[in-house]
Amino acid sequence: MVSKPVKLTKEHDLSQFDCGNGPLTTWLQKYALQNQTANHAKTVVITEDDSNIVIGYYSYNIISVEHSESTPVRVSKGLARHPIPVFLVARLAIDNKSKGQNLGSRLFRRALLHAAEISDQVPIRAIIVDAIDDGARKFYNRFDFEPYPADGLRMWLLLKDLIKTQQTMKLQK
Amino acid sequence: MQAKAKAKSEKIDIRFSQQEASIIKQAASLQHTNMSNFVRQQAVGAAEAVIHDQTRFAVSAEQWTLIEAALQRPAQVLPNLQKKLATTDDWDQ
Repeated sequence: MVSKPVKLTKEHDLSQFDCGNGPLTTWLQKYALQNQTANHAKTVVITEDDSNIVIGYYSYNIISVEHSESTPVRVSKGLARHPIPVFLVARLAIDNKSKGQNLGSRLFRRALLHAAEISDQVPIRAIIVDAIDDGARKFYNRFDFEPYPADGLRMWLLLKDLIKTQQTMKLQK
Repeated sequence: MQAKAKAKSEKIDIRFSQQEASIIKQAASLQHTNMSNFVRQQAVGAAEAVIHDQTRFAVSAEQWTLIEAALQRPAQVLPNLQKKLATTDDWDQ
């Protein structure tokens, strides 16, 4: 059994984590906690039950998408293009030993529910993910993510579609 | 078969104080590598982390129009997403 996803703490053991992707492994081990403490990207982890050994994680941040010409002049002329807040899932990785158990999909589903939940308080308009290779693109496709217009390596899902999809499900119950 | 063509590389000269160089040398030897490898790995890792943790992204006028258009259109129900969300999971308890 795998524990329910929780926020990363310094009690978690990251030393055995290896997802087969150098930067994703290194980031978790070296930077995740430091980032979280500094109020940058937050990390959510899963462990084997009754252990603190991390076997999967995602990290997220609220970012803003801005028009490159939103200069003070434009703002003063009343042409401001307001920055768009977005929930960015910058990293999602599962330890090699725990692959093939659908954990990535379950964890990502939780990340989406998490985004929907906080959208009550934070005015996020979309969820963006990094799709680093074909495998990742297929994975996110299965959640109806589409290519993000401003970056070929990213995909996105509009928050309104997520909320509407969720509401439809509740009505059907 | 011939070995893979060597990837293009760029040489960067960095000047360190003697003290800095000696610390780097010591750290590199603790990780059983040489100074050059050590500095490269650390620098690339730190650079990737900085890029990843960027929180403001500027987009061009053209891209902005596409993004705005998507944000303006009516909300849709997405069938694949619905299937994924509908799965039952112990974690939801």
